[in-house]
Amino acid sequence: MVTMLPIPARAGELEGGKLGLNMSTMTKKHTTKSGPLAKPSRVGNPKIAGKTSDGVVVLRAKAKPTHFTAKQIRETIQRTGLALSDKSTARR
Amino acid sequence: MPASTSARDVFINCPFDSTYKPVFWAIVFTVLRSGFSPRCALEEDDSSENRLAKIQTIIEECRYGIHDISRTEVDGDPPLPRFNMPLELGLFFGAKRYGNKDQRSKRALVLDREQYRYQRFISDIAGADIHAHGADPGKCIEQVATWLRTQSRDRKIPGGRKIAEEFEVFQSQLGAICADRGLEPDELTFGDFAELVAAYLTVDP
Repeated sequence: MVTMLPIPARAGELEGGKLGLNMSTMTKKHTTKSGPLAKPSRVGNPKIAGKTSDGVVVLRAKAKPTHFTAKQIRETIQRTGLALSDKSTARR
Repeated sequence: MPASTSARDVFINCPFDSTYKPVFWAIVFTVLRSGFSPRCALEEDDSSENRLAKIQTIIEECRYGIHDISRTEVDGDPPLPRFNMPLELGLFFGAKRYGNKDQRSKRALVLDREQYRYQRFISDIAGADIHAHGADPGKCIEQVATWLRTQSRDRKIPGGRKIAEEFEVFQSQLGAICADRGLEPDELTFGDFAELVAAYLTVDP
């Protein structure tokens, strides 16, 4: 006959249980946010694309372009002269 | 462990079909023009990742949410409602209600075609301030810009009408910009569009 034993969540609980001790109270608690089960978070400092002519800081989206690089699209817009900061009436 | 939210990330919860695309692009343009970073379920094309898990992660990481529930309408045979947007709105409200201090700082803007239409399918949010855009990109920009400016308190951010004018000009030039790269505007991915808008807003030609 096979008897199933409960699996302890942590090794300390098993050892402490045998001795009638709660091991979790004998060790210093760590409260760091990252751990082996923590998901990698992409929250961090936002990447800045630049500033508009009126001073608003424009951020880059976290999604990456697939058909061109950031450098290539900037060059395209510079070449075509169609950026927002171009105030000429020709673009309207 | 819940992730912290980014005070500049805006979760965009809306339809992604071609009919809605002008409004979606208008929202993305406004978010970037207002100094925020747009995020949505389209930002990663990874079939191995569960779609709902991906959306949950994005919601967790965003301080702000723009939820357009205008497409909650019956469709198909038998006619059934599309309910993804209300579901994600519920996830956002849930994170705000049950999350840690950071999650509780979440802020949401709810948009619909008509101001009181939502009461017929999610009456539980009655009392919330729902903004109507009438499926008009210009009106949607005004609503989003006003809300984002209130959140950021950045006086440099222009008003919604000015951003709507800028978006109209941008749209008229998008074809030429895409053509220079051998693309049609409808081929742009979300990542392409966001990068293009960021460059358009900041490049000094």
